[in-house]
Amino acid sequence: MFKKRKIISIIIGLLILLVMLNTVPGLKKGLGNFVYKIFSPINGLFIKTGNGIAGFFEVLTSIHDLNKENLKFRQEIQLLEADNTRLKEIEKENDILKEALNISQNIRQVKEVALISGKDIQGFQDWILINRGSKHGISENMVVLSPEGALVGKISEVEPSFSKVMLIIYRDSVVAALIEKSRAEGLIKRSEKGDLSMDFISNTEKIEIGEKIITSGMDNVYPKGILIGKIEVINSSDNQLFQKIFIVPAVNFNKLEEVIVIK
Amino acid sequence: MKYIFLILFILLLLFLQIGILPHLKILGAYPNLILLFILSLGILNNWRKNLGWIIAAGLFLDFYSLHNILGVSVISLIIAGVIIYFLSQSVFKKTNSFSLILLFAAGILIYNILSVIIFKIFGISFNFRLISFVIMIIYNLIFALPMFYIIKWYVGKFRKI
Repeated sequence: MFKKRKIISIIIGLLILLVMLNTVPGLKKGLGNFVYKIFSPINGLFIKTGNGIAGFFEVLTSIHDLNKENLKFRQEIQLLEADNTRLKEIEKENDILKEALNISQNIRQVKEVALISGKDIQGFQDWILINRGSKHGISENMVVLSPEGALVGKISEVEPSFSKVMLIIYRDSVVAALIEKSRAEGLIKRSEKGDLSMDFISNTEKIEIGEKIITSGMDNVYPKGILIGKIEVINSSDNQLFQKIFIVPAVNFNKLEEVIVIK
Repeated sequence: MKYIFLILFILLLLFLQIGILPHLKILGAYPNLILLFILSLGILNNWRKNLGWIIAAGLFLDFYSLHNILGVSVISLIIAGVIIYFLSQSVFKKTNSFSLILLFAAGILIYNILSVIIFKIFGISFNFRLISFVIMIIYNLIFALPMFYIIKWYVGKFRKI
């Protein structure tokens, strides 16, 4: 009898606690912040270890391709260096012209580097937890990039010292994008199969596998020109008005260790 | 002492879940070690004794989930833990590997279906693919028996948790 009463009181207590946590403003955030603060150093360590182990096995499996890749990358670096020099010249020229035409310069973006201190552990949703929050000037809908500058997602929830980032591979995520060469625009969403896709591209647009996809800025969330990924598959036929493309993201979301938040 | 070891074990599972298991993802699915831990306890112990552990593990799962409602995992875990206990006492009394696999499969299904129902009730969106769901169940079942025997060894060592 006593045990039964004890169990009933525990369950009632739990329900009251859950209702309070979900309804009293600030209570859940405070507790969440406390939990994340305690566990984030060890979480970070495990995330790093996991990435290290995965990276080691990846190197082992790809060792025979490394020589070929090395040569290819060296050639690409040379091309990019040439491009870089040319673009710097154009940038200088652009600044001079803007000054001459009295056009205001773009406000420089303030960036905050954050470490990943948690990930979705149930696989239901796609998000990461970063160790920067409202105390560091982070607010909802800020854009999050990888250290290489590719699009990761946006801030979906902010706590004092931590924030949750909704990845672009999340079901509800929509990104306005354009194909770099053809300039065809569209919306990038998660497809039913779980990959990223872009729909309703006119059949007259000539697109190729491997072309880069960047943000178009039309959604007023993600600024224009951020790399999203590359075209992996093109679904088109002559009797269809539109073609659909599937995109491989530029970011390996499993291996992220740090990100950049644009304020 | 036994409680400290158990808390450390839950934390180890949580950290493995966050740091290591996402690398073993197949079509978005990977095992849920904390769920397997609770189901193992549910088979080995009376559910009343497990309540504290279920609440603690469920809260951890809830804090490390994107949904805005605390308690989804706690409630799903409690119901799954209770059903698994009664199934292990009535339908699957023999603890051979086959009946254990069936018990775990039932527990994993109950937990996930309950989570999905609660998500639907509160209008929380989530990624769902049938193929990923099936892979997730198989994946969990691969890890289920090792987890069960670790917990069984532990429970045997301390007689009761």
